[in-house]
Amino acid sequence: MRSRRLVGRRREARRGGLKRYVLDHGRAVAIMVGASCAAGVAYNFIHPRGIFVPEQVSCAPERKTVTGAVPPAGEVSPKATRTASGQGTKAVQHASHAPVVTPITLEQAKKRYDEHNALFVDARARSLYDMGHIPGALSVPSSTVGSRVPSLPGGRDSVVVVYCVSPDCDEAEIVAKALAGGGYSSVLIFKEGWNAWYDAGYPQQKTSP
Amino acid sequence: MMGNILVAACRLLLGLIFVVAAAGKLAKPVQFMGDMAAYEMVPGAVLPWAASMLPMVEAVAGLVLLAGVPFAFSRSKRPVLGIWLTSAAWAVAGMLVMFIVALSVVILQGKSLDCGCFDMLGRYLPIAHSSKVDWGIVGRDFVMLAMAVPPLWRGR
Repeated sequence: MRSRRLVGRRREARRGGLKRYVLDHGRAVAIMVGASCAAGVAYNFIHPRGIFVPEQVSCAPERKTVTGAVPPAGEVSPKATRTASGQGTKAVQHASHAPVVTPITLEQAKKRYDEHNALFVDARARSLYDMGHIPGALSVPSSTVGSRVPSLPGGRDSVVVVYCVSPDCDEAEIVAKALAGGGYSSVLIFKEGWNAWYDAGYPQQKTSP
Repeated sequence: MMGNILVAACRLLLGLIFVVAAAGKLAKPVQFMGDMAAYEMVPGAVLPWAASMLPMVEAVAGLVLLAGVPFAFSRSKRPVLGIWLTSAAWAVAGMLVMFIVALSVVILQGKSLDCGCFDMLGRYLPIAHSSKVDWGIVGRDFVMLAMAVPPLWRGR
């Protein structure tokens, strides 16, 4: 019905000149875009991986740990969560559904390493990774990430621990944010990083030339 | 006749590109929101809404254009989709202008980020060989913008 009326208007528009054309097409575009927007929002409420489906986006740390993983105390404390989101990148920080990256300590990282219940991700440059890294860690240099979501073995429900050199480096945060924003539900950031791991004399691995 | 073919081809290509691009985003909404967040252009409070709306607008505009392909050859004085076809072309052109502006800004800012244009489908499409933002992608958007002109001219 409406489209017929608009078709009729279109004929008028030919006679009525630019103003009519702008009015009619503006209205049609507004209706089309408005309806699409509503449909898009509805879609994201309904779709199991939709933006407004809390389980997918709030990325509550440790909610979906790998089987048998027990979150060490302190990891999910509200304080730690606040700290993490307070350091978030500008764009993600404000979002009501902002992904959360949780910081963990050296001990917690070591515990996860010993229990094999997390995937370690080395965010440093490839050359540093080759010189020595936590055994089993994957090299995902932050320079290769941008906003692309790295795809890791183990899927988005696995627990990921990201680290770089020291508490002062920001590579780990870049990679962790990309992972969390990309739907990885349990992203932990090992702030003390490689230096602390190395100093503690924990196991390390070198890439053979 | 040539004009009809041109209009049909433009509707077909633009429609396909937009539907394919939208499909990739609709399949992974959260990832698309991540890509959009990296542009740092949409305030965080608005981001989830914008990220859920944009792909659907792309999809609908693309579908309307695709639906209009056969009617490029229609001799009817009363086009079947009427004003909607032209409006879909306007919507597509508007989005492309928006994309061009956003891409140019982030490139000029020197950011290296994922375009998010074709998202997950990118790697399967020859048209999206590079997903990092660069001037090539802006050029591609200008080509698409040019493809919106014949459908708009037809519906004038």
